Amino acid sequence: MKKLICLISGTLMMVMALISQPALAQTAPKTLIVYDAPPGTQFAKLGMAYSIMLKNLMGHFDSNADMLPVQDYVAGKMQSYDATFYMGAYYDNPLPAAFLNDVMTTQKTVVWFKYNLWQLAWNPAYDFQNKFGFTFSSLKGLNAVPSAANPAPGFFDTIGYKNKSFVKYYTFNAATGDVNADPDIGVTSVTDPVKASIVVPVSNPKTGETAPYVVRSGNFWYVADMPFSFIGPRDRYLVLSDLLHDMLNVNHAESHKALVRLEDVSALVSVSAMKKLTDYMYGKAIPFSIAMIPRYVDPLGAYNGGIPQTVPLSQATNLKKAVNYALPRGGQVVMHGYTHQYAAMKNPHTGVSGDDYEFWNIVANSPVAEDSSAWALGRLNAGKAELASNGYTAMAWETPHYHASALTSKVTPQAFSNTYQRVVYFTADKPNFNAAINKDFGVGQIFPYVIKKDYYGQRIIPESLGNIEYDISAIDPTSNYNYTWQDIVTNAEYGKTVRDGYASFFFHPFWLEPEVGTPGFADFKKVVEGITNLGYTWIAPSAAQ
Amino acid sequence: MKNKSKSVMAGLSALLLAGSFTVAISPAMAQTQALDVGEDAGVREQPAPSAAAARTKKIQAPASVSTAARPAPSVGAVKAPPRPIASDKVVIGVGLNPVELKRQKKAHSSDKIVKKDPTRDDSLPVKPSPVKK
Repeated sequence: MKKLICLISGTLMMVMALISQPALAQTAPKTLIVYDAPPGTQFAKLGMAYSIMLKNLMGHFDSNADMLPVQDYVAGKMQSYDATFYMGAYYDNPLPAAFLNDVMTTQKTVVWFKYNLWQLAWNPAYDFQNKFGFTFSSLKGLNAVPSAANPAPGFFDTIGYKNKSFVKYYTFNAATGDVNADPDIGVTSVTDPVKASIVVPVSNPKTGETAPYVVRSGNFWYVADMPFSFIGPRDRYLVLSDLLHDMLNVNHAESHKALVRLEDVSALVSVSAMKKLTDYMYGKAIPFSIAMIPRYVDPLGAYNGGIPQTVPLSQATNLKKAVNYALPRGGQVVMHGYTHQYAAMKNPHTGVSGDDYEFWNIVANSPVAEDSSAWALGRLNAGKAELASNGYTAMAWETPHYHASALTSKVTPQAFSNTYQRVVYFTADKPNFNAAINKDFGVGQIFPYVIKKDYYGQRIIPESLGNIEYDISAIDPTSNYNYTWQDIVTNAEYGKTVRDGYASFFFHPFWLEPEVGTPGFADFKKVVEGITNLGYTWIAPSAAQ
Repeated sequence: MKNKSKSVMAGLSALLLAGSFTVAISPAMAQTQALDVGEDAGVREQPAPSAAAARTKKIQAPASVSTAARPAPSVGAVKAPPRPIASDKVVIGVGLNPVELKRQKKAHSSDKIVKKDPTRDDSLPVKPSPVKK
C-alpha cells in the first residue's frame, strides 16, 4: 500500500512539475545581416556600423546574427537563415545578382532598409511589382535647400506608430550650411492591397504628403530609411525595435518593467541624500540599484588644494554607510568603473573619480595608451576585489560615461555576467576615424529592452530614458542645461510603444544637497510617480529578463 | 531609363488612384550630390573629438564617391534615382543623436558644487572650528 501511495504521489508530482513548467522557449531565429561595404571607399564601414547596431537588437531575441558584406553574398545563402536583413546604407551600391535573385525567390523573411531597392523594383527581369504588390518610385529628402531665412524646410520626418509621432532629428547650422539629419527615404506605394500593406506611415508635415515608412508583402519588408541614425529615446528606432518581434515572428508578451539607479555614488556621497532616496523607495517597495565607484582618486588634487588624494573604499566611511543603509532596503550594487577616471590627466574634466572617462581617452578620441584585454580586465577585477574586501558584490557592470574601448567591452563578460548601460561600438578594435579609405565608426546605442548578448558578448540591462539635469552653470559651468522630470516621463511614454519596453532611468543623489538649490527630491518623486502611472512595474535589475 | 519611367508612372498612378498622396519628381534633383558625415552641430562640450563623432570629419560621402569611380553596375542593373535636393549639405550621425551624446559626456561629480572631504563621517559630531581671539 505504501508503495502504491508513493507511486501515485510520485506520478502526481511529476505531472505537477510538467504542468508548472513555463511554455517551451521558442527556438532562436537564425539571422543574417547583409550590408553595403563598397571596397576602396571612405564609407566602406558605414554599413557595418549600422549592422552592428542591428545585430545588438537581435540579441534580444537570442539570435546571434551573422554579418556579411553584400558583395560576398553567394547564391542560396539566405536559405540557411530564418531572416535576412539588407542594410542599404550606400546609395547606388551595385548589388550582386545572386543576392537580388535570392531576395525575389526565397520564402524566408527578408527585410530591406533604405537605398538600392530600385535595383530590384526597376529591373523588369525581377517582376517586382507583380510579386510584391507595391512599387518603388523615388528617393525623397529635404523639401528645399535650408537657409538662414528658411532653416527648416521640412522632409518626411514624422513616423506614426501606436498613436505616437516619432519625429526624426534635425538641426541646421546657418554658418556652415550643414544639415544634421538623415532626411532621405525611399518612396513606395502599394498597388495591390491583397499582396502588400502599409505597416507604418511617414508624413511630411510641411507638404502634407504621406508615404509608407514600413511596407510588408508576405515575407518581404521594406523600411524606407535607416533607423539607426540620430537615435534617441523618442526616435523611430523604437518603432523598429518593436517591429522586430513581428519581422522575426517572436511574439514577446506585452510587459513593461521599470528600473531606477542612483548614479555616481562615490566617497563624496551625501549620506543624508542617499538615506532620503532610500527611504522613499523602500516606502514604496521599489527596488533600486546603486552605481558605486569603489575607489576615489583625485590625482591632480583638483578638489584637494592641488594635493593628490586617493581614498580606498575601506576609508570611504560615508559611502559605506550610505550603501549599507540601502542594501537591506531594496538596493543592489552596480560597479560603475574602478576609479571612474583615467591616470593623472584631465580626461577631460578634472581627473577626479566620477568626472572623467576611465576606459577611453576622450581627449585624443582613442583607446588609452595601456588599452588591452589584460589591462581592462585587471581594472575590473581590482574593482571587484575592492568591493569584496569591504563585503560588497556587484550584480552588474556600468562603464563610466558609457564609453569604453572595444577591448574593454569584449573582456567585460569575463568579469561580469551583466552590464547595465548604454554602449559605444566600434568598427575596429583600434579604430581610425580619419582614414581616407575604410574609416572607422564609433556608434552609441541605447536599448529599450534586455539584450542577452551584444556585439561584444555582453548581456545588457537597459538604461534608455536618461537622467534629470539642471542648469546651474552659475555654480558649475558644465551643468548648463535642463533635462526635466517631464522629459524622462515623456521618454517612458514612448518606451511603451515597444511591447516589452523598459522604463529605465538614473538619478544623481547630489541633486538633493541643499547647497545646489534644485528641487531634486521633488522631481525624482515626480519621475517615479509618472512612470508608475504609465503602468510600468518596478523591478530590481537582477530581475530584468 | 524606360524601366524607371514606367515603374515611376505606375507607382504614381496607383498613388493617385488610391488618393493617398502625390509625389512630384523634380528634374532639379542632382545625382551628383554628396553625403557628408560630420560635426555634432556645435553641441560638443570638448574641443577634442569624441568617439561618437567618428562622423565628425567632413568628408566626401557615398554619393560623391560613387559618382566618380564606380564599378560597373551588375548585370541587368538600372539607373539609380537622383539624390534628393541639398544632399550635399546633409551630415549623418550614426547611432545616438548629438543631444544624447552631450548628456553622456557630462561630468557628474558633486564636488564642484559642494566641497567635501571624501573620508568624512557625517555621523560624527562636527568638530568646532578654532575660534580666533
